[in-house]
Amino acid sequence: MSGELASGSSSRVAEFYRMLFEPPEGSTAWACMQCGLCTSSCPLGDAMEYPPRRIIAEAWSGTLERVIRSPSVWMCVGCYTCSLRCPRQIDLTDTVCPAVRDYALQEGIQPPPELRAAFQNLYLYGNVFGQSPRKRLEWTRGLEVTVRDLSKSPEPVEVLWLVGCYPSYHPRNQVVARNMARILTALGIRWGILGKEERALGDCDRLFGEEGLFEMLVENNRRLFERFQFEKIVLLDPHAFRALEKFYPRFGAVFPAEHYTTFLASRLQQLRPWLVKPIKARVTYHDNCCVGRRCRCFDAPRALLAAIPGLELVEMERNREHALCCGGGGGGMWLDAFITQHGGRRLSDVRIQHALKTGAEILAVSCPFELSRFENAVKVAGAEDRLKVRDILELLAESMGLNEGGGP
Amino acid sequence: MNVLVVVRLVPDLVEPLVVTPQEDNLDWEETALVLNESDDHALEEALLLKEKYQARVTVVAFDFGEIDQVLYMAAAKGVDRIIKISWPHREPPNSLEIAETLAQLVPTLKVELVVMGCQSPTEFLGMAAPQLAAALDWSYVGVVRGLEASEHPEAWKAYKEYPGAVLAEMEVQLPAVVGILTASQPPRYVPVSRIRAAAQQTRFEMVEGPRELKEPSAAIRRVYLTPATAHATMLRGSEEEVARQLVEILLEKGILK
Amino acid sequence: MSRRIAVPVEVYRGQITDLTRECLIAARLVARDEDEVVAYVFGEIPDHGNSALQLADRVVTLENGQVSQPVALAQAKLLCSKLDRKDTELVLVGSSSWGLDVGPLVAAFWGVPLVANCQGLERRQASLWATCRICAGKLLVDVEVGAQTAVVLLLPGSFLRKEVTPRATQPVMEKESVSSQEWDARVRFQRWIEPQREDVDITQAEILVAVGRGIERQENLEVAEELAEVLGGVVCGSRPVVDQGWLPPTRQVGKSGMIVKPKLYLAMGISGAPEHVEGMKDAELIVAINRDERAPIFHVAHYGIVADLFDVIPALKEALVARRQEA
Repeated sequence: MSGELASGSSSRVAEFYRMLFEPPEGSTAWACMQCGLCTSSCPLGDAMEYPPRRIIAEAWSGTLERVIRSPSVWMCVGCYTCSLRCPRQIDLTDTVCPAVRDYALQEGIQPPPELRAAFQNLYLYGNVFGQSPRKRLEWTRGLEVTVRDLSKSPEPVEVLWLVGCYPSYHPRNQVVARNMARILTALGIRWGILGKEERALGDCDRLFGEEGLFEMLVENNRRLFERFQFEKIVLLDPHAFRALEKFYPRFGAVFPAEHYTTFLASRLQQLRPWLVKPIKARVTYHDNCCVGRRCRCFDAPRALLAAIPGLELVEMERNREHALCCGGGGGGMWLDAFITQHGGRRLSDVRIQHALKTGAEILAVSCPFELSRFENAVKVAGAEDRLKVRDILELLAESMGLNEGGGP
Repeated sequence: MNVLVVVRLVPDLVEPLVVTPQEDNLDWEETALVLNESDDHALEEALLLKEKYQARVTVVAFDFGEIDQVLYMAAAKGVDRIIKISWPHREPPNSLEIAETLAQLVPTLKVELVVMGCQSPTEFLGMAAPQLAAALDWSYVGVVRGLEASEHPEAWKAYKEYPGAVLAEMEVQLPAVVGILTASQPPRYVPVSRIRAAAQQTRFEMVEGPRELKEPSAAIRRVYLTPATAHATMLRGSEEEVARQLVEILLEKGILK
Repeated sequence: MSRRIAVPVEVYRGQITDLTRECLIAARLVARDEDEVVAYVFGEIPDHGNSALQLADRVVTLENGQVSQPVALAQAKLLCSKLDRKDTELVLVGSSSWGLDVGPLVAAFWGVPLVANCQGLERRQASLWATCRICAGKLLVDVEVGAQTAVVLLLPGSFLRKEVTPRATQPVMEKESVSSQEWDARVRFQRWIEPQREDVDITQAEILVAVGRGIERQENLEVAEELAEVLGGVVCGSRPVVDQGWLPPTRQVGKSGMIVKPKLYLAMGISGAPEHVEGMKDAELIVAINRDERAPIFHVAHYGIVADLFDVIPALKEALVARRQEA
């Protein structure tokens, strides 16, 4: 019984190779021409013992045993640069890398302790912090707009807003959540949240290789969402948006979803009259990987920023599909120490230099991880007096005269 | 060697605790349960004994709450046998009930070593591990971090934790009950897909538990949340203000020179 | 009818422990005039810490070479054979690593109630009442002990500062010999294993910067190290941080780590679980920084800051450096 589960069973190996050679999306790994474009594009490629090209080579020769034991398995930060550039359209980031990690976990390879804790927390509490689900509404304390908690009083709404773990629990991100609530209300949108029943969507764990955990979250979330009536789901987290858009349908959970930048940009006509206070600042925008490079959505966030009076938008050298990842995806949020110990570097520190070079006073972001990562990077660079990090929602709210004073 | 691991569900302290209005018990319906941390370590130690010394590991638990999830996790980690003791009651068994029930069960199993957590958040009228040892008249050592084979057959080395990161090496004659505080290494991770696969394949052996609850050995008169007593003087303001205030305090107290 | 309150004495590193003293204080407070408080010493009375024995009415030294070995199983059995259960009202033991074995074993061998995690004990009319603190300190239970005999495990710190009227006379000293048949040799003490001493002994440090789970990741330790450097202090941690391997065990503060009494204990991202608090509650000045305003650490700290430690630490460092430059 359990003896077979204790060591990798042949069905797991077969499953792994099937993912690689008959993937649900993108080309089969057999199509790889070993050109190495992936490795040279990878921001951490030079630190990986087994960068994407080598993983496929090892998979071909059936010698994955040593790959899964290498620390480089845990170094992918899910930036999609390799996937974007692969001339054969192999779905490296969303298929190959998670499959390798899943295989490693099945073989009993222990993930780094910080990741273990994150998985455990997701499993037990539906959020990576290990905080009680009952505390999901703390961000609404003292909020002056009405929050429709659909879990308490279900009613049809236009927008089901999935707040997300970071905006619900992390103090810095809670500011952004409150601003989103104000903006949605000001625009007269009928919106609701799931209150204490909301749980993580589960993209992090899928990328980390925890397929089983992801499946569990999908099942629970599908049953949860089906109880409510809404026209679309709006999310602050690009990773969660990706999960909902690309992976949930594979399990039969199909819900229309938009990242907030796309959603608000489509409402720009209603939004514009509200943007009354000018923000006289030079602002540069960091394209997040999931909504940006992966979904090719670069204009919506810029349209929002351009609509703010007085705002001067400048571009970093590497922007749009060439933006450098902040390093937070794919487990990276927990693995800075691990990555730097194994020869990598904290990508947010590198990216902040790009931002500083533009002379911008504000770095605008639209992903919850980026706020803390870039604010830390600003401190490390000693540039607190030169550059502030703000979510686009904070800037919009400020221009609408609605915010509570922005970030720290 | 045959090892028995006892695992228990205890209140999850991440959640706020809820007491009944009569203040006579925890409101068990409102209480989220989680695997007792030191039992998790006991399981890990048993799995290490399996890996190092080919021990056979049996896990036993009372059927309360979502214990099945814990047992599937144990199955996924590779234990050899799982026994569930029926427990059709409103609250989990107390230490006395655990010790007495297991004292009946253990002699029917072929085990020489019982490992379980030496502490649990809700133990106060009794402690299951040493009580089980006494009931069986077996050796006992508690607050243990790690077990190793000793030169003598039928004896094992147990490392008992003392203050100051000191360990006492004890030699324990089998049969023995060992109360584990922490395992030699942190409990291993097993992916959720393996737990779910185990859920499909694992069969538990069911054993009858006691029909009646035992009265606790002393009368519980009141159960209540710890009131906030003394409290720190809170420093408030922006980080800069708070930092300034703190520096002033440190200077005042002569801590900064 | 006079009854006995027995206190088994724990000797660790050649000293009678503070916890034993607390048990003796508790015994005296709970004893009626006609009761007798008896301390049981396994082996010779040590040179240090024996002033605590003055609190007892009688001190019984159990003699034989191996009796002083810290083997709870054998010592518990010994107590049960040497004490008359009918005459004994209470056996009071501290919740130390040793006590957590001895107490429950005595209770189990005798078939009498065990009251563990006891932070308060008093006599109300005919019964003994105990208050037990459980669930990581979040829950209290008041218990009435009706039985004739009971074993109580005391939590450290519960009776440390209680006043007891000194006894008028010296305690009666007795010796009792123990034969090898009375000693259960199924568990044997082999040796002490000292941790590898590294550079710093945190028990000697005047300023400690302590980190807990709130530090989140190993790399964030450097933030604490930098602050410690500016303060002229040393970094230490709570158990979870040490269990992760981010700090060596010699830097662990708490029940099974080090007990520290520095001038300043800066607790960052530490929730304040009782096992940790036990290790630092006697620090002269305790300042706690935690994101959760309901964290139990704020009950033990003198000053508290509800904030993200990653925001406060840089500000604190700056303020300290600025102050130093002014001075």
